[in-house]
Amino acid sequence: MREGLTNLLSGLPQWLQDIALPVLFGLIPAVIIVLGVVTPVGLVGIWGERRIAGKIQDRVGPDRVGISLGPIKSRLFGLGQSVADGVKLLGKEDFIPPGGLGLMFLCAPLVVFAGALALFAALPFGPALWAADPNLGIFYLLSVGALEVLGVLMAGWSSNNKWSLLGAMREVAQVISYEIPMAIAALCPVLLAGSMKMSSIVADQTNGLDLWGLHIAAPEATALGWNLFAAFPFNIIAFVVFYICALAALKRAPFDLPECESELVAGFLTEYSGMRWSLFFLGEYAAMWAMSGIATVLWLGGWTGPLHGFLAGVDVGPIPGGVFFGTLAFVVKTTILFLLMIQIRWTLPRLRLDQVMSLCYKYLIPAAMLCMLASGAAALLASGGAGS
Amino acid sequence: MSATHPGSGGYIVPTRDVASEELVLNMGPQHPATHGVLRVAVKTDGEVVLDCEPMVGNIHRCKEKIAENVTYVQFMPYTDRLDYLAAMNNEECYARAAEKLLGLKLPERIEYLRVIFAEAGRISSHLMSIGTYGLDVGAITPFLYCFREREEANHLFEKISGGRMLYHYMRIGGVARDPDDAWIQRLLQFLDQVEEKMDEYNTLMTWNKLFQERTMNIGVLSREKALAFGITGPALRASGIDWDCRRDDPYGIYDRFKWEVPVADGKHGTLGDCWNRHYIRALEMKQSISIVRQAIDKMPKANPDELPPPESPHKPFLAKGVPRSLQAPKGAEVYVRSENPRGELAFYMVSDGGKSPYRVKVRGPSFCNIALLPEVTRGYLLSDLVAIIGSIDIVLGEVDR
Amino acid sequence: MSYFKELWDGIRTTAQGLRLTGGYLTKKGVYTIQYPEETLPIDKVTHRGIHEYDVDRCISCENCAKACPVDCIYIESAPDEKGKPSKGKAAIMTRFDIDYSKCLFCGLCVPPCPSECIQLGERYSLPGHTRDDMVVHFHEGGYPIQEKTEHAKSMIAEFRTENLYEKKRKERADRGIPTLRPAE
Repeated sequence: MREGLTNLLSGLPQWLQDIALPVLFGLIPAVIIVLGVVTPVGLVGIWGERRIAGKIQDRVGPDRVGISLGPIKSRLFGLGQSVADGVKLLGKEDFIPPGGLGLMFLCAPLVVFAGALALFAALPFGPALWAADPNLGIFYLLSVGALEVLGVLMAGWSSNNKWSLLGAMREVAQVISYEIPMAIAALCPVLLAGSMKMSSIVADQTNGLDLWGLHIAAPEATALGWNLFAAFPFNIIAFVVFYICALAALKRAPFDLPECESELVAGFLTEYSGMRWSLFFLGEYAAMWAMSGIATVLWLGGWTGPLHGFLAGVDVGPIPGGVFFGTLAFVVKTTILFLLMIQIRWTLPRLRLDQVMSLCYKYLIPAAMLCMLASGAAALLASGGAGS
Repeated sequence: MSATHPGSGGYIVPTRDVASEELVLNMGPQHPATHGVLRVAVKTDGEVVLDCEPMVGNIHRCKEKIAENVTYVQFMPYTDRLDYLAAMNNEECYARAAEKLLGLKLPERIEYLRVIFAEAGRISSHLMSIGTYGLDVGAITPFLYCFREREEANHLFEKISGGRMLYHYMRIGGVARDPDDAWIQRLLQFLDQVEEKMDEYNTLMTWNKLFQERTMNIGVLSREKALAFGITGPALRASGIDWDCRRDDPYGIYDRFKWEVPVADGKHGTLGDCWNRHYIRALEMKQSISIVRQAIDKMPKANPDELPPPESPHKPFLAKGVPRSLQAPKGAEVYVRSENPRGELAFYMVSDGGKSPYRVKVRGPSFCNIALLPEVTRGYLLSDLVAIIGSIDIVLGEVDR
Repeated sequence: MSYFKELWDGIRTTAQGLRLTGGYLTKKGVYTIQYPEETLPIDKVTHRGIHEYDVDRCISCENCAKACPVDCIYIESAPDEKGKPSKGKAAIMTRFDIDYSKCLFCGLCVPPCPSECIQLGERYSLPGHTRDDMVVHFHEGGYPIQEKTEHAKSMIAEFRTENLYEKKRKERADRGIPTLRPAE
């Protein structure tokens, strides 16, 4: 198809071809893939959260909305609930608070959603299955992840509501602080791999365990090559630090101060209604999954590991086994981290703002620093000392 | 120039170097954390609470005036609606007040039933307060666990009285219905279930580090202040004052049971902080369970001479000789208090010889306890304000009456 | 040292909490029930729901209205030969309304009734859009009584032997008072 289209376009002037070809074969498929992943992830994520919350709390959760097509009637475990809620929200009044900054208020959910969307662009789902693989992959992801703060600050500031403003201030203070340990923790795998490119970091995790200069060769399927076990035990700590920071950056409980309903009514979301409100939610759940994905790539070997190692040769129909099982492994690992986020939310009470800060500056940053030093030392030992 | 507020948790109130304004936040009456329709006007500097003022009266329903216009019997369902989370205890206090005013004497079995139901009501009410306190500090799951156990209590009370929340079980001179053995067995099962599941609340709340961080050393109420403000109930005992109306001014048959009054000892956190108030409630539930078990063991069978079985299931289970139309002697005056789950509830009643009381004054524990809110919140953060309101555990139905 | 102790306490208690919630996650079955399909059992004798009322047995004594703390029961009966409201066994009810926007469901109206023609029933759902929807006109039928007591059964037998049900029904029909109640 690609050749056919190229031939078709060859009649056009060269400058137009230069623009049209990347757009046709790069941008448009990338956007379709990313959008096609983000929205379902958000919808299923919301449904999953509600079902899991129900199960933890000894109740059922949404289980009614399914399909009813003639003779086919099924509740589908309530999978349609998010869609039904979305349709309901579309019908709500698009309320803009008087006295607020209208345009800013309208744009804020888009900024938040765009931030979550952009995370997926550089997320490697499987071998060669990504929208983009920039050289500065990690750097890009961490920067784009911070875009959400801007949207939340815009939302809180423009709402003309004291609760919203307090929520936004909390969000900014919290997320800006947690960026520091998060970035430092993310540097550990970067140091080990010697690259910021996501695919290189994954590739680095297939060739056995480096234990303080001692190299233990092990096949990929043993999962010993994962960064989690490198510079033992410091990368486990780094992984935990990154995970906690991800919770805080995503304002998930116990760090959900910006929107905590028992103190700030709904925080920065107080004045939002309808589709704009649900965009915040879609963005939050998509970002949750993306952050779990980043943690998977950095420490849990991305698509590599037992599933990919054993079954890479088994093709599934037209799909090469490496791609299919690699993607499956990535999705499974990411989803487990995602579910853990949900379970944590329904287990722990919320922290206070000063406690959130002291956790960051007193515990996480020193721990992340230590892990980075250890990872650097381990990388140095593995490469044969300072001289080489 | 920065200063810590006296008596605060040590938060630094920001300096005035930067031009800043005080923010007046109107918390409520429509706010998720004010436990009803309480409105708190909070003066804050950023997140620090400089001052706050609870504004009560949003659901004032003239309960005391209504009492003057209805008969003694007819006021009983209204007492349910004072502290609607502990309706049994309100009814018990009002029934005793009215009986004292009218000069009625109760048979043994009724006295035991009163204790059983009051203490079961206390367990049910404390389940609610502990659960909603979790909700206030952001732990949503223990709230639903507590509700699960409270649901069992509701089933029990519904089975015997017909109501799930507003029971109207206690009657002047008796109770609505005599429980049978099957019901008593179910009550014992409920007690076992609560005792077993209390570990879950403690794991998720009491002993959880994050919960302790949120509640320990917050909203400290000193001994002196507690006495000065007339605080009663778990909040008083959390400040280290060993006072329980049931033991120190025994009413009914409470002197026949062996139990302890849980008093905070300051081993965890500071004496009189939010955590201690929460913990005292958890300990009180255990004592109530023990009291109910003892009462069930000791409860005598009904003696038909003084306590005849009702003629039909519609009729209440009353002592013999309770007149159909109640009339107190002219000028009779009583002040009867009892230990409600939230503190001391008291009814002051005066009669002018008519069919309805001349004056009824309710001394509500929530109303007296809420007065301490500005005193203990100054200098804490906004999040702490929510934790403090939750730990005082007010019920607006009784604050506003 | 307290630095590390606090850290350890935090990790330990968090892990305990996660183990507890994880246990629920893997537990089979839930505590709650699916409401419209399943309902909780209701005790037929004690439950205090919407009233049940027997219009034919009512003697229009107004004891229930007097016992009501909120005065939500409205009673009127058709005039007898002397032009006064009919009372006793021959009473023809023209109005027996209960305003459920006022009713406390306290059950105080039930014990004073001499003919046991009113009691609190099992129904609990009475949705409506206006305050008028909250007023139930019991004299037009709709909530027939389910006899629970021996006394009520003996009353019915008495009414049957005297053919009072038929007489009253005929009287009501003559006077054009609607009765939706099905014939026994």
